[in-house]
Amino acid sequence: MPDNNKSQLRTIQYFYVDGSFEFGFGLLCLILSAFFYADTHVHGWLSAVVDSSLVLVIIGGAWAVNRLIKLLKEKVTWPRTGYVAYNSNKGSKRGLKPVLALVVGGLVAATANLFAKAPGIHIALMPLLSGFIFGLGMVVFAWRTSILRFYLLAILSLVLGGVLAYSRMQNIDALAVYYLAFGLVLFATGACVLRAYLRQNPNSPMEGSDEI
Amino acid sequence: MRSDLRSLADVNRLIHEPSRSVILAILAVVESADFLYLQRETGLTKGNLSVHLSKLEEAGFIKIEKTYRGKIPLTLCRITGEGRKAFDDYRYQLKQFVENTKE
Repeated sequence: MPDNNKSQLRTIQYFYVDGSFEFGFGLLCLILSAFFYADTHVHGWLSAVVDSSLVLVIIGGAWAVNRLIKLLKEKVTWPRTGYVAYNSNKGSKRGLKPVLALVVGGLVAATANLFAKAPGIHIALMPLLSGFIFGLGMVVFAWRTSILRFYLLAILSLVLGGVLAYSRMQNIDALAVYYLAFGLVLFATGACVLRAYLRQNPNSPMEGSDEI
Repeated sequence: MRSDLRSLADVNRLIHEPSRSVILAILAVVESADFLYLQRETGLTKGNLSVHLSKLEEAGFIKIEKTYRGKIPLTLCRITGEGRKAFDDYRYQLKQFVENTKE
C-alpha cells in the first residue's frame, strides 16, 4: 500500500531534486562576491556607483536566480519527471517571513556587536555573520525537507564564516571570499545533484504523453 | 457492529482506494501537479491514472485543467476546497480508528 506521508515528503523534496536550487543560490553568492570585491577594489566615482547599487544587485540577483531555476526546470526537470507548482504564501504568512528575518538578523547583529567589543578579540564580523545566517537558512531548509545535504551545507557555511573571521583579512575582502567560496561549493553540490538526477532519469517521456 | 469498526465503515470509500488517497495526498501539499508527475509518483499506468483522476474530478475533489506548455499538452490537477476537507476528514477518521483499536 502506498505511503501517503512518504509521497507528500517526496513531493516537497521534488523542488530540490535537480540541483537547480543550489545553482540559483550559488549564482546569487557569486554576484554578491563580485559586488563586495568591486566595493573594495574600485575607486573614484565608480566606487560611489558600486556603493549605491547594493539594493539593485540584490533585486537583479534574485531575478536572475528565479530565471535560472525556472529555465533549468523547464529544460531538464519538467519534461523528464513532471511539473509541480508549489503554494506561495498568502495573507498574513507572506508578511511574517520578512519580519522574522529582520528579528533574527537584528538579534544576530546585536550579539555579534557585543562579541566584537569584547577586549582582546579582533575578528572580521561580516563573514562570521553571513556564515551564521546562511547556515541557519540551510538548517531551516534541511528541517523542512529532510534533505541531508542541507545540513552539510549549513556546517560548511558556519566553518567557512568562522575560518574567514579569524583570517586577518579585511572585513569586506573576507566577505567577498566567503561568498565566492560558498557560491562555488553550492555550484559543485548542484552539479553532483543534477548528475545523479540525470543518471536516474536519462530520457524524457514522449511528447504528448500526458493526454488523458 | 462495534463503534470503532463502524467509524472505519464510515470512511469515504472514494478516497479509501490507495491510489486515489496518494493522489489527494500529493495534491494536498502543492498548488498543482501534472499528469506525468502523478503517474511517476503513483506508479499507475496512464489508463488507470486517468480513471482515478476522472472519479476524483466527478466527486468534485480535484480540478483538471488541460493546457499546453509550448507545443506539449499539459494536464494539470489541483485539489479543491471540498477535496481538501474530504481528505482531512478521511485522515482524521483513520487516525481515530487506529487510536481506538490500540491494545
